[in-house]
Amino acid sequence: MPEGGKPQGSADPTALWRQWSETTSKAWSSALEASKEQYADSYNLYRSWLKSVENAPDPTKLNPLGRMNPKEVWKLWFDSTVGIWRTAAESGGDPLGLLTAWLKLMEDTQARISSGEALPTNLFAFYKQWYDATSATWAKFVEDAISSEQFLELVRPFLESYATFFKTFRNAEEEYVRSLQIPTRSDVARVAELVISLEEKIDQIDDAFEEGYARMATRQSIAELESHIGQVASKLTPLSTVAEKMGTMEIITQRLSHVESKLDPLSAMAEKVGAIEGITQRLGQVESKLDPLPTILDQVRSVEGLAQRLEQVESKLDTLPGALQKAGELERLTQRMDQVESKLSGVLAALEKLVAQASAASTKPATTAPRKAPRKTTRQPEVKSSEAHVGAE
Amino acid sequence: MTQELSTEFGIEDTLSTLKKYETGMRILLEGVQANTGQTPKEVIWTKNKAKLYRYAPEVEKRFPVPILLIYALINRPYVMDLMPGNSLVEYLVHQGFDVYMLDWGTPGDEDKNLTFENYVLDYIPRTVRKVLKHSHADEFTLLGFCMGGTMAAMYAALFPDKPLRNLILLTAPIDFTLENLGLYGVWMDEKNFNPDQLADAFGNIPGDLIDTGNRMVKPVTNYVGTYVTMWDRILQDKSMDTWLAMNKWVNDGVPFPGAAFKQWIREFYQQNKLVKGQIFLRGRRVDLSRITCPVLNIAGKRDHICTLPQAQATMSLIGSKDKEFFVLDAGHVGLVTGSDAKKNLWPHLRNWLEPRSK
Repeated sequence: MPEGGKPQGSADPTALWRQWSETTSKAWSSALEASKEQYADSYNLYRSWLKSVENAPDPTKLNPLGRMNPKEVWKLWFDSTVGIWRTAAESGGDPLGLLTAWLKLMEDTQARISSGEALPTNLFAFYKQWYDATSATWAKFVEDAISSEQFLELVRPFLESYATFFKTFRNAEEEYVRSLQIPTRSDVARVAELVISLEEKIDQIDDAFEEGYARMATRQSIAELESHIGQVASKLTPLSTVAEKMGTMEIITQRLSHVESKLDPLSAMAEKVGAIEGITQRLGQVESKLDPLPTILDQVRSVEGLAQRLEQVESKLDTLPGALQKAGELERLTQRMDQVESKLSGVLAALEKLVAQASAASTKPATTAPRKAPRKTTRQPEVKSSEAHVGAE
Repeated sequence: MTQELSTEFGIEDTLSTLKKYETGMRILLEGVQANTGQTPKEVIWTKNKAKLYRYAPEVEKRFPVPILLIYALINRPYVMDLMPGNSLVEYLVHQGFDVYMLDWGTPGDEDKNLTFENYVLDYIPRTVRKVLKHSHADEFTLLGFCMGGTMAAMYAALFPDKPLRNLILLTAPIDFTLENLGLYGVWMDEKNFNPDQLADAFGNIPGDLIDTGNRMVKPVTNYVGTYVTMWDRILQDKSMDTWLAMNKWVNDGVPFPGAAFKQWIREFYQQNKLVKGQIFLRGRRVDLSRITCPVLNIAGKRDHICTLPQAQATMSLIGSKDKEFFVLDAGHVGLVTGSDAKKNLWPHLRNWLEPRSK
């Protein structure tokens, strides 16, 4: 750069810097609608920097090497700014404590430089130190800000308006694309919903198989089913011929109906036959009961004969009282007969002995014995003869 | 370059520094490239966008009771299988467990009406049947992480009996009392936030929006500190694998189905119905006291997404006799990955599971 002169073609860096600073400061102050320069440059950083550049000694401008010396640049900057910050911090212009932390950092760095250490080649390390020192404070400040009612009152309408705008824009976009006969997002989503529903049905079928209330058809079961179907088919084959005979079947059916109508009285007849059989059985029973009738009739006849005979006996017994009247007389006679009998008994005894001797040689029954009781036979000829007659019968 | 510069800085040092800056700028401009979820696995079942993974056993299976991992509906589940050497899944597989994971997938416009009824009563039970069938087991351990833990707790309350053997809740928010929610309690309050408006406008809530909301809980740490850490590790020649994998996962959010989002905000964050027993899924009341299986409830002291009281409330609500509340000095994700997790959580998990998985 020419000595003592500013370049005509290319802009002076300091002039450029000044112009940039003034422009941006004005822009910031107008945007924030606050006290312009004071708000935009509350710490007078840029002003102090510009001032230091302007008031830099000539050697720094004339000596390129001197200008490029990092240490001198650093010292210059440090001396021009630290004082201002310290003053601001001490006067209460450091509500967050950031300036204090920054000043401490700067002083530590300056001490290292003064002790002979080289400037950090890695500017990031310097930045990280600054971040580590101030991040907690920044974080607290920001968190307090975003949780405040003022912030929420700003964000709430912003979110609502953004959502409304987005919805309106999306609906308009849909309508526009639809008017171009181009599938829209909602069309694609509708198709996707159908696919999802189909997948859900498949999942339900899958669940049915897994849960066990539906079973997969195996090859064996299918083969068995096929054979059963074949058997049924073979059985159904004659149906074709049967169908042909359906007409004949109808005639036969009619004839059968006719026969049936004729056979209908059979049932009544059968009932009657059954009744006849019952009657036959009953007749048989009656006959069996009547079988003893002849015997009974004979007995009745005999009873009648007996009745006649009884009448005869009665008639005869009617004479009994008369006979009994004579019994007294007979008693006397009996006594007389007893006397006679006693006499005769002796005779009889002798005769019996003789008879016994005679019977030893013969076999005649003793039935003749009653004959040997003449009293009885004479006194009771009527009775004995009747008794004998009765006994004979 | 002046002689002073060459002596002050050294050309080689400068070139090295420039190379490092190039690495950092490439990450910022091109995005994070990292290989995650590297534990060998196979898909054994799918439903809609969800996939059920079974991790290939590398050692002989020692425990007949399989483990089913369920993550939240937002973000990807490979946080539990972040990278080789830093993977909970890998660890469990090497310990002889039969490990399964349900990946909810990326919902599309057609999924905007999916609710917790669908997830808890359709997806999870069907997944359980597939796990049991595939592992030839009749019992299983359910591990839920974050919102997945909330869903796991609801499932366990509705299906407390066999085949559920054990329940593990990893930073699972159960109690949404306003005072315990931190910044979420302020933002999700009924007078400040209307979930219906967002759901009606977007259908599925964009993953970026969910991610922004989560990052704004710790804005300086998440938006500035993350990249300060990145540059620090690059410039100090430290390994970038974990940072890259974690950053990839953080930025890999998935949309949140609108109907489920409305449920999550209204019934959980705004009305805190779960602890009151007022959550009904298809007419069935979710009563956490019906949970009777062994429960391991894990939480992080520095977790600002699921605060300690949110997880601790579970212990007084469940009916289990065998239950443990395990607290680590870690954050929401640091609980599961990282060196602290390897030293503390993983062994404790194995020791707790071992006698309960035979």
